Amino acid sequence: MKTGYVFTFLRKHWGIIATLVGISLFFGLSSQYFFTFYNLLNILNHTTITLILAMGMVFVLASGGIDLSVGSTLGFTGVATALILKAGTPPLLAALCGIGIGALIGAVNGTIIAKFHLQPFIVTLGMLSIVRGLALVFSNGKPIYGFPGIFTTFFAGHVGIPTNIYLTIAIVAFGSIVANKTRFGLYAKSIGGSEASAHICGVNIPLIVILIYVQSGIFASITSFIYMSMMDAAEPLAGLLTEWLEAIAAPIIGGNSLSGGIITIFGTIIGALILATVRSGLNIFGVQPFYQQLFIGLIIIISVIADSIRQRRSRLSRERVVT
Amino acid sequence: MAETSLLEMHDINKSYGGIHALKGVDLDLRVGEVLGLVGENGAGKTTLMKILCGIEKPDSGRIIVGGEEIRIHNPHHAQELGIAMIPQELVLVPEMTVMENIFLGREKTGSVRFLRKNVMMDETKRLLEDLKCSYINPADMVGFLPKADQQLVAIARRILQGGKAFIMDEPTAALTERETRNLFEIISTRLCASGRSVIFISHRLEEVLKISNRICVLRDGNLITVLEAAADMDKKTLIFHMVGGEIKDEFPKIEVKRGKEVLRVEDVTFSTNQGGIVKDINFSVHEGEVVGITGLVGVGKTELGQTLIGVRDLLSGKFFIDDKEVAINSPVKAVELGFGYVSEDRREEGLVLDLQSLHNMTINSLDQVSNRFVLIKSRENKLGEGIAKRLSMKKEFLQMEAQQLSGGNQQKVVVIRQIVSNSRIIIFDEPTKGIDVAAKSEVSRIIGELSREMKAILLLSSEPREVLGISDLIFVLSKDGMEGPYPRGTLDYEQLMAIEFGAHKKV
Repeated sequence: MKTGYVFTFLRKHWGIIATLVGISLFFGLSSQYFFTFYNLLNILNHTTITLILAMGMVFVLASGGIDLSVGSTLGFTGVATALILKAGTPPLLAALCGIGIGALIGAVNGTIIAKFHLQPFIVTLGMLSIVRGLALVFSNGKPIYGFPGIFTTFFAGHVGIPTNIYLTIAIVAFGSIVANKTRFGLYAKSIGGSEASAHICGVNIPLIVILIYVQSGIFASITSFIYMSMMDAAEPLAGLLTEWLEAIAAPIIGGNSLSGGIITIFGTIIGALILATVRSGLNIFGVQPFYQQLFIGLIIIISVIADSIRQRRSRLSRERVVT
Repeated sequence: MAETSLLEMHDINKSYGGIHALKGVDLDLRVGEVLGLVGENGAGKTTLMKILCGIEKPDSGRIIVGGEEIRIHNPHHAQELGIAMIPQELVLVPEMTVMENIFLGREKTGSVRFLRKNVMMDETKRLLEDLKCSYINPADMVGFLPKADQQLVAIARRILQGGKAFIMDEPTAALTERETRNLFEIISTRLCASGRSVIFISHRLEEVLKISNRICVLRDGNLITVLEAAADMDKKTLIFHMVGGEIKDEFPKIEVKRGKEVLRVEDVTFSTNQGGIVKDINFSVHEGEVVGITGLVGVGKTELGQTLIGVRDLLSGKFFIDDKEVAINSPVKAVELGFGYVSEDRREEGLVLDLQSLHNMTINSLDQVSNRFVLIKSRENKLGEGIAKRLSMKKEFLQMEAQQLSGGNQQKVVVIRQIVSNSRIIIFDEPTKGIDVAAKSEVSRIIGELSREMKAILLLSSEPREVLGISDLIFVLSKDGMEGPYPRGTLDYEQLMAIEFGAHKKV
């Protein structure tokens, strides 16, 4: 029973595991600096932001949706939390406020999508712009500096390894439990897999959809704490570059589907590691950051193509079973 | 058998637009029985069941469940009342496991609200064992199961949800003979024996006769009869009640002398949406000829049309146009070869709803109304005037947006599009489905006009009167293959129905 489980697990994920190992070996053999403790830690450190955002995104994707607004939410909750901190609010309370704002943005997304039956793509695209605008307005377009040490130490300090890695492990564990052990995870999948089926079985679809986007907003705000602690500044333009793209790409690379119905947390972790590894390798090779962006884009497109091929295959094999 | 009623429907009326779909229908379902429900396409079976499942609301009438009069608000409410629909297209989540599907919405959780998978797994196993299908692994993904097993999963889910009245719509359409026997055994020994009842809707009359305790016959929205005594229950009686007597001249025919052969289909094999295979189809269509292919819903007519225009894969066989073999692997290729296609679903596939009907008519033949770069309004208008004159239609009709038109007029627009275009072979899939009688005869007349222009016409229809009315040659597709050709006038309604239902060999 146990070996059978390991076997099916490996069979399902061998492709991305092999990709990660292959990329690592390539960079490792090409450069003596790649397989150093410092560099590997650096890779993990960079994975944290993608992974936490992705933990919200997997549930959105499972329900057949997409959340394009996580990058902007990251930017705005950072700015808002920074302002609240600067006003002398205790760090814990400020963080809770930031999380509340993230949740609110998600709730607006989810409510519009669920109640008006709109395309998540368009709704969150609009929200992307609104929230980025808010971030610029509240910060006057300038970074905000200087936070209490306890805040930055908690979110990007160093206790043996960077503290944000501990936090990420905790959130990934949480996501994994929610995905596999709760009704919420199951319902998210059922909505993406067959909304009709979820409906006739009495699943409260609007509520679940709203909660899915709330969760995504909360994780985006937690990411913003890490981001501003790492930089020691709340940037209104934080999360504008590839952060939100990678948050979508990591799950897709890992085997979550754009058409919903699937959650794989393990795949998402590997997906995030692949992205971070490529970035780190290119850094070691001295490739300009501009080209890095180009590579990330290529990986995303390749993984989406792989997703669509996977879809077609599974549909074909289903049809074959039927006939 | 107990004579108490599980549910009753009294004097149910329902209209859609101008069409009176149900006219005071009564129905009662007794505890532990199988009630067969038959009728030709459009007789009102589906509407009646939609009302029972809470998908549609009746205009008037009473529904009594377990002795209490009830208004069914929505499908979920119906489910809570114990009404368990098993639709032909099963609604399961393909990406989830058998267990997750069965328990969807009623998961068992422990103290910290975590799912208790082991408990649910065990219960699923018990449930499947009860249905004599313990071979299904509760941990398997539903999408990879054969159709028959998916159906059992759907039934198991309904049992868990407390289903008492099971409504099965064409449950055997995708099943093999063995799977059908298995399903029947489950129905009689597992469902009915434990006080549940089944409404069994099917076009396969032998099966209805075999499994049902009583059979309701619907025709044109009326409940014609309820057959009860075993002596009354044979195929001939059923068809007699389903068909009734009257035949009106709804479908006028324009006689045209046929020209040379345009399309020939040899030994064509393709798959159906239900997962069946239709084998070795042979026929040919000549200029000016209307070839009608009929058969019950789901038998593969639409799929045949799709195969011809390259939307569906050809599994084997050959197409010939003007006696030359051609490969049709995409709709683009089909259009190049001169195919025109009028889909069954005019709203989704046929019309651009925001455009005027005139633009909708010329959209396939823009080279006729434009020079190399721009559309020429005057040419388009002239074309429209010509059509309006020839078909004696009002000019305002051409200026209206397609979405403002009634279903019948929308259908006219997509049919007229084929007059304008240069296609030589035109395939109509259910051209008069869901439109009123006047529009039906109008559409038939336009199809006649097309044949007068020596176009070759293939009519795919499950409306027997339409096929009998306007085809020169008739083929009947059934699950046993294709029968025909029957030249015009050699078949009457009752004979046609007998062939469709596979009864002619015995009758």
